[in-house]
Amino acid sequence: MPCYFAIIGAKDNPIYEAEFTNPHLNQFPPELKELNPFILHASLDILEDLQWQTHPQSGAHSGTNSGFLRSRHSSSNSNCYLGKIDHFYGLAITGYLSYGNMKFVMVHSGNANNGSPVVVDDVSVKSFYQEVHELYVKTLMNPFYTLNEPITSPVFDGRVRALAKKLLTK
Amino acid sequence: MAIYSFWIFDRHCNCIFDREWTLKTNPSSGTTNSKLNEDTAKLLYGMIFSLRSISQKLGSLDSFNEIRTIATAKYRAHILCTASGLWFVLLSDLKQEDLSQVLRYLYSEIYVKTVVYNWLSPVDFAETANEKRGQGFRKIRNRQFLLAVEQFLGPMVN
Amino acid sequence: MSASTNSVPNSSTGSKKSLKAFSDDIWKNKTAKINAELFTLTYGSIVSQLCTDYERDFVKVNNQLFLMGYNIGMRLIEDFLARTALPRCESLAKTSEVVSKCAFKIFLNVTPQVGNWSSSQDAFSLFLDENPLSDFVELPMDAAKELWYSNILCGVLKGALEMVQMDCDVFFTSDVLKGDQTTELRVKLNRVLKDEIPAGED
Repeated sequence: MPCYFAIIGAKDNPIYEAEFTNPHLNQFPPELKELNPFILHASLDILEDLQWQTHPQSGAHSGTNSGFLRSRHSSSNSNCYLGKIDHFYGLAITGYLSYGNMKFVMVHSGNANNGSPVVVDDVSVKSFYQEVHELYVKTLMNPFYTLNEPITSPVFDGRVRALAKKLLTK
Repeated sequence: MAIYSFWIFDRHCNCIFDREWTLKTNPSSGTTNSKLNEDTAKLLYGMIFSLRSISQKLGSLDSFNEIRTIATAKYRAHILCTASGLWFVLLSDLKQEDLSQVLRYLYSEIYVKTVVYNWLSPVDFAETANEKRGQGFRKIRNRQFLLAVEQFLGPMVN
Repeated sequence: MSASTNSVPNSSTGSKKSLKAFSDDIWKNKTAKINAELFTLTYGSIVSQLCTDYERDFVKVNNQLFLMGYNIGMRLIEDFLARTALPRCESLAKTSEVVSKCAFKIFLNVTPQVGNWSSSQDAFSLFLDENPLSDFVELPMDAAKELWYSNILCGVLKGALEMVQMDCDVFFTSDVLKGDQTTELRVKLNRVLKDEIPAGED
């Protein structure tokens, strides 16, 4: 299934965006493709609400029932994954929040264009987010990268796309 | 145990530190005769320089023949020469056979830590070409260094 | 009369094996360690700040890094000699070995490969398989051509070797950060300097 992924900075500025498609599967319909950034940004409010809740109502089923806030006390980043946070005409939107307040969000589209709701595979989506988070931290360690600036590195882009191929659009 | 004096010479043949414990102050002026110390430094340098050259020439090619001590009837000079051209020299009584550990400590724990690691202190004490080749006059003035040398060697003086 | 100390081999570090074990011991027992990321980030912030300060004139940045390294090398050599108590090397081959197996090991915990000797044996290369300075680094497009990111290392070697009377040229010829296959640091010995002798002695 095609996905549209973006990293949004602390000031709601886009840091990175990518569309993952697979030639053998469906593409985003052209009229929807243009809308993706809007759909994605619309869910940021929900994500910010979830951020301050100890028990997010819509959340992934595994591991996040303790909420993002509580996770301050644990060293794992398993609570960063917020699961499906929003939906829009059959598209699902998932979110992930780093402790540095970088928002990782993604629009998932179904394989069939029949408007039936998309089922998100939490396990692989979560691991996708976690690995991208890892890549993001490495980018942050590059002395030539400035926090909250768009990521232009082709290496980062290539790695994220490889991850998507492995975990999302297989 | 008796140590008489401690000297450091740099790669420019200059004496960058001298501390003499046995030298009496001139009662009329109340200060140490620094001119006398300067001459002593030159003589000491010359003696070590010559004997060191000879010992190196006498050594066979495959063994490292660095001078360590020179004994006279009145005192013994203990010498540590580093590859960077620094000489650390201690004069002691004849009972002290080997002060190489003391010299090494003075170098690695005191000189390196209080002079070399102090970025605001020079490591090359000759500021112009005129101050090289034994013509220099600048000394180590780091308080930490002076204090550490005094604390370390003080108890060994007598 | 001149004291020629450049031809004094040392018996305590004669074989290759002992030099390695000797350096391992110093690294393990006599060296204070810091967090690797902190070290990498500290160096990275210096380089990136220099790039900003010199308005992305990378030739100037290279020179500045070299100069900083030179000043470090002049001091670091004393620390190195204090730790190792090594005498001067009798040949450049010995020097290359001490630099790679001992100096790089003690200060950076890496052992670059020595190779690419010139036919006259007066120049060699150090191949850095690992470079702790440049972990995480990706050069921006405009810097990839001219900036030698780890140029401080050249300065350190230059300064340190000069203090043991070896006048060398030290420079990078390739860097994996620029897309090269290897990171190669070239050391070329110009001449062995004479120890100073007091004025009037010659």
